[in-house]
Amino acid sequence: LVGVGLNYQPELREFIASAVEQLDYVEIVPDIAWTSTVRADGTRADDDEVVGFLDSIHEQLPLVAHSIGLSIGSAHRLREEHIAKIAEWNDRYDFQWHSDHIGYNVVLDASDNEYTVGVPLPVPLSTEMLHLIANRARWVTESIAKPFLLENNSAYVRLPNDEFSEAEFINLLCDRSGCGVLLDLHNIYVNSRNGIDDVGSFLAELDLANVVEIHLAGGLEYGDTYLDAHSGAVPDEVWAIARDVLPACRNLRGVTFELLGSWYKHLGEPALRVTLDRMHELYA
Amino acid sequence: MSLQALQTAFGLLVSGSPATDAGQAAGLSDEEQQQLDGVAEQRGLATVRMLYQSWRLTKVLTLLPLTIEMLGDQAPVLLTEFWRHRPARGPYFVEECLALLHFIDERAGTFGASLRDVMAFERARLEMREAVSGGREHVSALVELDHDAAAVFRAARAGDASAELPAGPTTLRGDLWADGTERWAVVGAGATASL
Repeated sequence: LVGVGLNYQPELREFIASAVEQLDYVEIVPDIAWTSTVRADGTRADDDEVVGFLDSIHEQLPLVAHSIGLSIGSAHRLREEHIAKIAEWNDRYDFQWHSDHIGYNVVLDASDNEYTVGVPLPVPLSTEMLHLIANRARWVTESIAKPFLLENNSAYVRLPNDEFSEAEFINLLCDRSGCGVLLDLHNIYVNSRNGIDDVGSFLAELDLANVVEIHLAGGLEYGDTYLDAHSGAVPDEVWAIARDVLPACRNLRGVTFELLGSWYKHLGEPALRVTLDRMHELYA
Repeated sequence: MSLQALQTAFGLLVSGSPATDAGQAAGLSDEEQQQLDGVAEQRGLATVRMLYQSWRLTKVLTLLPLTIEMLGDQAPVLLTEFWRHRPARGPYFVEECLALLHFIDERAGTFGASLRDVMAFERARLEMREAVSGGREHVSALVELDHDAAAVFRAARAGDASAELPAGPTTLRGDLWADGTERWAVVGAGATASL
C-alpha cells in the first residue's frame, strides 16, 4: 500500500463513505472504539456501534491503527493488555501497520495508583529511556506481525539535560528495535513555532529511510502558543515541508490527514476533498 | 535517578501541583528536583496543564451536561476541588463521572433541590451505558424524581437550579439498547408518556 489516508472520527463517517475513491486507507484510533468495560482477560470491550461502521468501511478500504494508549515510555510497566487488544483487532481488520507515540501518558501517583494524564508527555532523551523503549518496541514488533511505527510528538516543554537530540534518539530507537517512524510534520512545525525544536535541524538529522507514514494536520493559536489541535487546514509551511521531505522517504507507505471531527464543519467538505487531492499530488 | 519517581512528579506537576510539592510527594533527589524545576519554569507548562484540564472537562461536559448546567458558577469550583483529590484513573470517564456525582451528592444540600433529580437521571444513564458496554443487549432503569419531570428538565436546560418546581414524585423509565437507541418515559398510573 502506498497512498493517502484520513483518520476516522464519528463526524467523518458520511464523508469517508462518500470519499472511498479518494482514499487508499482509513486510519483509526482504536482506543476510541473501545469502552470502559474491562473483560476477564484485562482487555477492553468494543463499542459495537463504531465496530459496525469499521466493519462496513473495511470491506472497501484497508485500515491502519494509530493508538494512543500504549504509553510506551511509562517507567513502571508496559501496558501489555493494550498490545493484546491491538493484536485482537489486527486479527479482525488485518491492519497495514500500527503505531503509537514516543512518550507516556500513564503514570503512578505518590501512592502507586496508576492514572492517566491524557496528553502524551515527553520522555527524557537518555540512554536509559532509549533502552527501555527499544526493548518494548522490539517486543511489540515480535508480538504483532505487522510494521510497528512510533510517532514524534508535539511537546510544549522539554526535560533539561537530554543526552540526545530527538532525531538522534529516534534513529537509534529504530536501529535497536526494528520499528519504523510515523513522521508527524505538523508536530515538528508546532515544536518549531513554540521554540522547542527546529524543523531544519530535526529533518537534517532524522534518517528518513525509517519513515513509513507521514501525518499532516492543522493547528491554532492559543495565546502565545501554537497548538497541535487537528483543527482544520494544513498550514502552507507544512505543505512545503512535505514536498521537501517526501522524495527522501523511500520506504513511505502512507500520508494521512488528521482532522478532529468537531472541526469538520469549519473546514467543510470541499476543502477536505482539496486537501486529499493535494496529498495525492505529493507523490507525483 | 529514578525514572518512575520523575514521571510521578511530572504527572503531579501537570495536574496542577507546584514543583516543590510534586517533587516532595514523589521523593525526588536534589538533582531530580532541579530537573523538575527546569520544566516548571518553561512557559509551555501552562499549555500542558490547560490541555490536561480540557481533556478532563470535555469528558465531564459530554457525560454530565445537565448536572454541569445546573451547577452553573459552582461547577468550576467543585470540579477543581474534585480533580485535586482524584486524578484521572483512565482514558474512559464513566467511573470518574460516577465518582463526581457522589462527590457532588455529599455537598448537594447547598444547591437547589432539583439538582438531586438531575443527578439521579444522569447517574442512571451512566450506569445503563456501562451495562450495555459490558455486553448486555438491552437494559432498563427506573429513576425516582422528587419533582415533576418536565419541570426538572426545563430548569436544567435553562441552568436554573433555584426554580420553584411542582412537587413529584415522578418515576422515569429508561431503556437503552446495544445499537445506541435510548428511550425515556414518565411512568404514571398505568400509562407512560414519552419525554
